[in-house]
Amino acid sequence: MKIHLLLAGLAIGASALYEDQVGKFDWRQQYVGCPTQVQIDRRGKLDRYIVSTAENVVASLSMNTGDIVWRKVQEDVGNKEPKHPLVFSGQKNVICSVSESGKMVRLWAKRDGGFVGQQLLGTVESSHAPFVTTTADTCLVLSHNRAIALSLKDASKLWEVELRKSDWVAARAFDGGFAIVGGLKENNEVHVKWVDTKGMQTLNKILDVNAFNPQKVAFTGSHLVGFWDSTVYALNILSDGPDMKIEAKGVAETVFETFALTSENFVAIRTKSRVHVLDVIKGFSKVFSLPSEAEAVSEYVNKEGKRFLASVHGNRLSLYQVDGDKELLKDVVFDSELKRAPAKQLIIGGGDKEWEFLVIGADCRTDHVVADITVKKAALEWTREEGLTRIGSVELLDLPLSESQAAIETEFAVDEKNILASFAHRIFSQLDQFKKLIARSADTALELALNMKQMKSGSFSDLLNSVRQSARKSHSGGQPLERDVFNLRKLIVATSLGGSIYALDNQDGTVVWRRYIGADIQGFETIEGKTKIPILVQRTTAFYNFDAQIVVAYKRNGIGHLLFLNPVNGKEVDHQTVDNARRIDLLPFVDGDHLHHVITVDRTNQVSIYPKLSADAIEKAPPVHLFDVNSVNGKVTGYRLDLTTNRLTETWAHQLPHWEDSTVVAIAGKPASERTHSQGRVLADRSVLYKYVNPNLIAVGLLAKSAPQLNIHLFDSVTGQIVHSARLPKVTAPVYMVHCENWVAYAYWTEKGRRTEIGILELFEGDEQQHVETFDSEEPLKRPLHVEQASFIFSQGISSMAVTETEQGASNRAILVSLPFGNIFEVNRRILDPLRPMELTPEMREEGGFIPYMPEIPIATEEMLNYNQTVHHVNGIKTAPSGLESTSLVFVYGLDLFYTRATPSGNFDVLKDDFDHILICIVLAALFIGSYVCRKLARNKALQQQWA
Amino acid sequence: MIFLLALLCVAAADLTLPIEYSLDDWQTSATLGNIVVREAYNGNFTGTFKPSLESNVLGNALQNAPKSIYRIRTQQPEVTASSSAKPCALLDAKLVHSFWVSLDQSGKFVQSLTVFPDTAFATGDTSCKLQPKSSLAGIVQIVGTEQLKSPDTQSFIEKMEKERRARQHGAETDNRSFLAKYWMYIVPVVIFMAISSMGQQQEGGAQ
Repeated sequence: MKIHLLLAGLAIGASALYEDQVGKFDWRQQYVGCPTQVQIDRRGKLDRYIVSTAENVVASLSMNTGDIVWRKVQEDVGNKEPKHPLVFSGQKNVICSVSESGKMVRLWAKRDGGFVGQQLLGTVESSHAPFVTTTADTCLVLSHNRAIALSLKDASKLWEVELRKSDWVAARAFDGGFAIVGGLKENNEVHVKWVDTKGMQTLNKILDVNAFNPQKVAFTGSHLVGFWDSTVYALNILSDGPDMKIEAKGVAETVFETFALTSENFVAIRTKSRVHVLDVIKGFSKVFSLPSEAEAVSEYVNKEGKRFLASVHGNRLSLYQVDGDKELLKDVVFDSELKRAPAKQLIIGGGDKEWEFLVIGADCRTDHVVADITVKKAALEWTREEGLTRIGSVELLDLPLSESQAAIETEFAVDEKNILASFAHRIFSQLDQFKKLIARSADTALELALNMKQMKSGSFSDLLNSVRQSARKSHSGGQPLERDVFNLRKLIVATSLGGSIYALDNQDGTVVWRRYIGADIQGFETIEGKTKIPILVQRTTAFYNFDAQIVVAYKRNGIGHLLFLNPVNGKEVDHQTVDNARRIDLLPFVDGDHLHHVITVDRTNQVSIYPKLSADAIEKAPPVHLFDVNSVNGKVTGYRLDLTTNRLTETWAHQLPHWEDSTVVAIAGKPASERTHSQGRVLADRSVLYKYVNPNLIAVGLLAKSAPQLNIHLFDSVTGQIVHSARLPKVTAPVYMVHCENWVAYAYWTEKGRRTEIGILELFEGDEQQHVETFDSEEPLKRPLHVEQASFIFSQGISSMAVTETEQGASNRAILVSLPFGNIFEVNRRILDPLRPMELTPEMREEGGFIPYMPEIPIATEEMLNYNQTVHHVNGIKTAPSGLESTSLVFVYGLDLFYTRATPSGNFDVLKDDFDHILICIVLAALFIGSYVCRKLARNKALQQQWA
Repeated sequence: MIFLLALLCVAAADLTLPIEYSLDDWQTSATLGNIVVREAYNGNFTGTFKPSLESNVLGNALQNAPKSIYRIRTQQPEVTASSSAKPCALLDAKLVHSFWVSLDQSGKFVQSLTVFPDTAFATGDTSCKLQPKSSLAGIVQIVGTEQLKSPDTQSFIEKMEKERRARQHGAETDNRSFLAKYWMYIVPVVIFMAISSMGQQQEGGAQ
């Protein structure tokens, strides 16, 4: 048995990586998520930003480079934003963070992110947004209508005080303890409570307030500031007695926002056009007004106590000194990009001559700007694309043909009768190719020379850095965006739920272009409950005389939008709005321009097609069938699309059983481009089991809740026939499912075994092939399908599942599984095979290639696709074929991005990395010379023999 | 005994599915017949179609509406399952229906009902006319719901146990005779001896 296992391991696990291949085919980008709160930490050698994000992460970023110094990833929030974002507060050494909407408080060392301690505050989310503040030795957390004080040494609970039921809370430390405020909006009241450092209550008061917008309160010094319509309110919470009353002041315009400034007793208010700074103590007197419009404003107090105010508008930055009313920077351009997302937050890092700023955009893009106030210039030092942590959909697209490839295409496409003209054409294209070759060689030589020059001067680390930099440059900037020989280079187009579209280069993950659509956009909800901003590929880059085209669909204020783009440069081609779109899809056929048209179906089953189909295309069009699942009653309906009237005609309907009690795990069809290389499986007795490869097959996974059970239905979307249905009792979430070729793989948690298992269901037509040439759904099956099924124990949890894809489908498939501890594991289909025999018969041994059944899928750490490059909170895995049959491209997205190549059948069509080209050349040359010399010698000898 | 009888009755209870058809998207509908599903004692299902309509009636209706969609449905207390076919294809198949019914785990709930014109009877005539010797009939295929297997640890453990035992007790008892078992060792020795003895004889002869 051991020998069998070993053999199996040898056969399958040949895809491990050598040490020198690390980072050669793969890259990883680590992100922190969309920043919600930022603090500056200037203690120690390195200046840093401490950020907390919507993705439940606390991290420290280097101010110089933007790299992550440390990052603490907490519980996964999925692709939904949590009810209340993570909040934190820090003193000089420790920060105290409240995550998961008030469920958990954790303490971290500020310098290295070391874990100090944690305390569970509740198992349900807090009804109000949690609040946290720190003193030198205590962390006070307000959550679940309680105030809890924790020791900053070990997170032990010092004391706890019950609060009145509130929907907003805030607290502030003062010499004798803490002042805690809160309130209920509907009761029009504010509660103030003073608690000393031992947790003893010293004051408890309820104040009446007319109207107070509880979501927008802020603290400045001892004052709590709020607003309602065009009135600003302030409450001094530290003055006991008659002074503790709410003061109000009307302003001329409607207030949008009040924000506290770091200097005590000053508050900034933002109205429609302006930002004003008011002094709360002096009866809200206006201290300063910003002269221009601003998207985000921030204040900074330097060591001498001088106050500065900065604002950002579009790609321009302004800085003012408040006290002397001085203008230090006025509308200084810091970014050449004009279509930036509006800034939602601005943080000033300060400085003397060179000021540092952090601009956080509505699309979560985080820019670090350095501005010189003497020369009045600003520069973007680094950028973090944090919007990529919330990817709503991904496509991997081929790059367009290179100029020379396109020239070859045109050369053969032009049907020239004139032999002279085509000869000239040939010569010119060859000259062109030669010119390019020279240019490329010159570039390489220049780069090499530069590197050599750097090698002479500077330390080793400088050299290393320069080599890295040049490598990075040559990847992104150096090469034009065109297809390489093996079509391994692709464009990763991704939509972010933050409101942007990105195109990344798959060589190194650099952003090729980005396009901001708006932070106010919403995605579409899929029936599985996921939010997506779908990308549909209308035309690939396969046609050199047409530009590629994609369409991105999103919603704004409930109205659907279709944005047509050229994926190579991000330029908008067209824009359409659609009302009531229930479904957006591509037509399965192309028109004369190789374009797949977009169809939208509205609630009355009226279909719209973008762009409109020509009469000729309608005439030629094959029948189009659609199906749809009603999320309310579970009715599945099939339609036939009439392209002349743009109406849907119902052709079949049925009901998914136990719908009310079930949740949909997956509804998965198959991509039209998917290929199945082999039509059958050869068995040990050399008979063939033919696969049931139905391109119209849909797999539905339903999870019943009251009597936990997984139901899998496989139906044909043209006829509605359920060709197979299966159930597995005692199964609960998480359930993942992939549907490919003639099989469905599903992973689930079994209550019975209390473990994760992976099952596989494979459909066969039997030993006789019914559909030899093309598949026809409308032809009835001759007999019920032959179904093979098996399942295996998987000793790890699973957080995402996908399947590899290759160009011809001849390589083995592998199921890619992301594990909760951050690894991507590849399960080969040869392991996950329902036809694995329990015992090997002599014939099977003779035939070879059979792996005996073992109930567990072995997990070896060296077989992890991402070796030690762990990725967290994985949302999805996208695979795409490359030009090499052996290679499938894998892109993993979530909090981190990871890209690699997978070779499930090994690198059978590529020479090994360490293939010795020189040796083989030497051997060949030696043989050649040797044979020549020998021939001469032999001839000499023969001559001498004849003379002798 | 009564209990056993009752059990048998339950097991053999039939499920009757009334089938209706329509050619005008259910504005008018008529009964086509019944599908009777019977569960065999081994858990398999068999189904038969009993038409309750004259072949000519359906044939003429189909001929008169060649562009419409021929739809059938069965209604159960809670739900409806429906399917459709092209009238011309059905006329071509001499009105022979091929029904596929998918049942849930209880065997009482129709998950899907699909109708195909049976291609085995198709003549390839596309004139959309009632073929001679047409008669309304149906072949019914029933697909139940299968229970998925859990990892087969039991057989694997048994197999391991067997192998372990085999290792402990040496090879499994071998009933072959001594010669049958070790002939491959004996034959070379015999041949070697024979050759050497022959050599000796030859040497002796020379002397």
